[in-house]
Amino acid sequence: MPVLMAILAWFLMALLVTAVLRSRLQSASIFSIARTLLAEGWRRGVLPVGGAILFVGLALLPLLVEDASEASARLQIVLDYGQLWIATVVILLTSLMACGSLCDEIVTGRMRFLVVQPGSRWSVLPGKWLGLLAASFSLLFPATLMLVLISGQVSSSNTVLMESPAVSLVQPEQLQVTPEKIEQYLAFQKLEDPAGWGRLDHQEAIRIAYSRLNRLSRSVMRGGRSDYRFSYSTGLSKGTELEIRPSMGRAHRSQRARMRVHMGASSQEILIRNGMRSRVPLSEALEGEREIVIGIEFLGAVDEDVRIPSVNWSGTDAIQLRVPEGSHLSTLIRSQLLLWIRCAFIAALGLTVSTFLGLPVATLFVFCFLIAAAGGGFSGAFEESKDAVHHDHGHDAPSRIVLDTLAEGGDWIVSQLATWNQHVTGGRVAAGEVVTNSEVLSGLARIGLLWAGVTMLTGLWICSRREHGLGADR
Amino acid sequence: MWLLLPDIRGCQYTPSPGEQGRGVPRVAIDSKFDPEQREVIQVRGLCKTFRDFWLRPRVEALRGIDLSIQSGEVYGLLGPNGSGKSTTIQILLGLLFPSAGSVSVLGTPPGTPQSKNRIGYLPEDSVFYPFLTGAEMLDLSASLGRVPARERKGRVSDLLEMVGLQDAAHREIGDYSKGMQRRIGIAQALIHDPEILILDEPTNGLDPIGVRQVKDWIVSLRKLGKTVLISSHLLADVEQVCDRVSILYGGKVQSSGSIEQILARDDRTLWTTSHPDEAVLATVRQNFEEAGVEVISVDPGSRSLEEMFLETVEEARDSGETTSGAGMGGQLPAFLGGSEGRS
Repeated sequence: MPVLMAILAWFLMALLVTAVLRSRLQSASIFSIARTLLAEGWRRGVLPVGGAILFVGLALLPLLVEDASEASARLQIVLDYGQLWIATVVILLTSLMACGSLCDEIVTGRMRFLVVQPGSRWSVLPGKWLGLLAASFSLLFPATLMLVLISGQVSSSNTVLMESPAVSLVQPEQLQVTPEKIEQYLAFQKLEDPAGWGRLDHQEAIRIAYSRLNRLSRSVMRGGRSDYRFSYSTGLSKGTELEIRPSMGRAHRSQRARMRVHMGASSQEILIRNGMRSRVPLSEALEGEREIVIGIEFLGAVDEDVRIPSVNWSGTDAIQLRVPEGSHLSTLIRSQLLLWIRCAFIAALGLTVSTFLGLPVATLFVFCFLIAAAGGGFSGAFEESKDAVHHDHGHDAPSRIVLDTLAEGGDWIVSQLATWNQHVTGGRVAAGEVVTNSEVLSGLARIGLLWAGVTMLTGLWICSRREHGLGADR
Repeated sequence: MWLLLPDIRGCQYTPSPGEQGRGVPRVAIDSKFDPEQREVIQVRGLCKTFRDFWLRPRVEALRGIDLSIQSGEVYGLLGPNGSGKSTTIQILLGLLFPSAGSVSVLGTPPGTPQSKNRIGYLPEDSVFYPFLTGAEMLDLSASLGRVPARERKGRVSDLLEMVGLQDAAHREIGDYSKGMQRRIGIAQALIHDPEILILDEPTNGLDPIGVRQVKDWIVSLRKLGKTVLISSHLLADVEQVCDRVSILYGGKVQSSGSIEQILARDDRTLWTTSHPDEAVLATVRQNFEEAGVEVISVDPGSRSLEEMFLETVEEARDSGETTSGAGMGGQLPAFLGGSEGRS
């Protein structure tokens, strides 16, 4: 059902774009400008040549997976590189068309022709933006279709993407050290040890408390047990697994240890290896539950002469639930929708910077943004959850405040850039992780409406300062 | 008869000490200026200074221009390169801001949707999309000009026929000759049936047939009550179609008035007669001399090169010769104001 809904969504959008461009609304100047940009893209060969490059690259994907023996590995490679290739080509073409189209209008003097037409001053940029959306869609839709076909070809089944489920990853609450937890811990410690904790400066106490809580929540001592609470709003479905990746300090990678996993009334003993992922199926009794507690008891090393004092959970994905949700295909489609939304922002950015920069500088500007976004996405992939980020406000010197503010600004920019990097989403899809509808809606609201909207408004404002943005002062 | 008048139109530009006493506009007594007629374009003391990135004055393009263009007249804006014609037109179209002075187009500031909807503009250079066909370009102009969808197809067809491009309607503009692109430009300026037509070098790149047709269309548009503002270097063309002209130089109006009056000479009279024999000529010459009238020159009658060219092409067409260029073209389409105004 989700697959059908996702396919239906694609077709509905395709129909919408076609209908909008060909319907009676075509008399509006905004749609005329959009159609002209599409005609430019096709007749000047940008879209046919870009499309040919895109499809040749996709057609070569099966060559990458010749050495992979497992079907799942082949599928992951094809999806990973396929999405990366599609995102790269489509975003680059969109940015080039965005910058080239407007700069060309200004350099040739056509911008003046457009602006003197009745009522068209405000429709030039939105019209071009709409045309760029249609152009990127005309590449994205067939490319996604081809990727689905190639995925079927390299896998055991043509319907592999429809059959294999995507998983939603759920992290436990204990690993998130929130300010509330810190305050609770501090209050308790001050009661217990007023002479020690009570004398500490408040910010210093917060720093120490955070450090201890973080360490405690991420480790299980030998013979000890930690309980982890998982919440999943729609209820855990059949096939849910607990995935753990323990770190055992200095123990050798091949060293085995024992753990007991308590799920409700049942428990089972498992063998783990240092740094290796292990999966434990969820007890049937817990299926359908929205909140569960899983206890993990560390029993020590298998070999009696080896002493391992504790296991640690290093990274956000060290302990998590894998809940099947929807199919691989639906999550791929959602990921491509996010790519289209990102294209919308890139188009808006390219058009806006082209209103005051020439083609080379405008293109360079957009490319710099894309490189920064790739870096932001790389950093964002290793970022802890936001609640765990702790800022030390122990020193109130002005220079420190400035530095802290700059650091927080940098964090914010990196986190924003991470949302604009398609490769992170593509990597998740390739790994079988679900991309939810709420992520698409959130991307639409943040990237498609908020950021693209703000960027477009900036471009319109520049254009409205008539002599600027028309090339008069170049 | 020329009158020397100091700064007659209240120009806001104050000449520098070095300019005092020179560059004062000469204005002919204007019999065609009718105070009762509606003023569609009014320019008072218009100045425009282009500035660089640091807002330092770079070029003083206009230095106090006054224009008053009435409804239904053909007005010529003349002047050498850099005299301020294009800057004036761009200000009238709302593309540039005036630095000082006031401009009113159809009673509204330039660049407003109300004024732009009633202005048709032919730019100096053909700046149309080379990858669109002629019909698509006109369709685009029609939709930008807010022509209702149900009328667009008809108008596009009528205008293509008018400019003689019906056979090249589905060829890309990039393949058009310069003259054909000019014709498409004229068609796009007319497609939304504007009240005012601003033509920047309208005959630029046209062959003599095209030039003749454009002049005929301008005259027909005047008959339909439309106002036409022409900027041109080709003085002969302007002379034939314009009611009034202004001559710009150095960003100022140097002279303005109706064509007949500014060109009139009270020390010359030109007669055109049928070809007389030598005896008659001798008698006439003798009579003039007795009356104290000096005969400066007597020239044999001759056809103009334009007339000869038009006749030759007409004969070639009649003999069935074909061309890949523009066709003959036709009359103004009916949507521009009815059949009474057709040429």
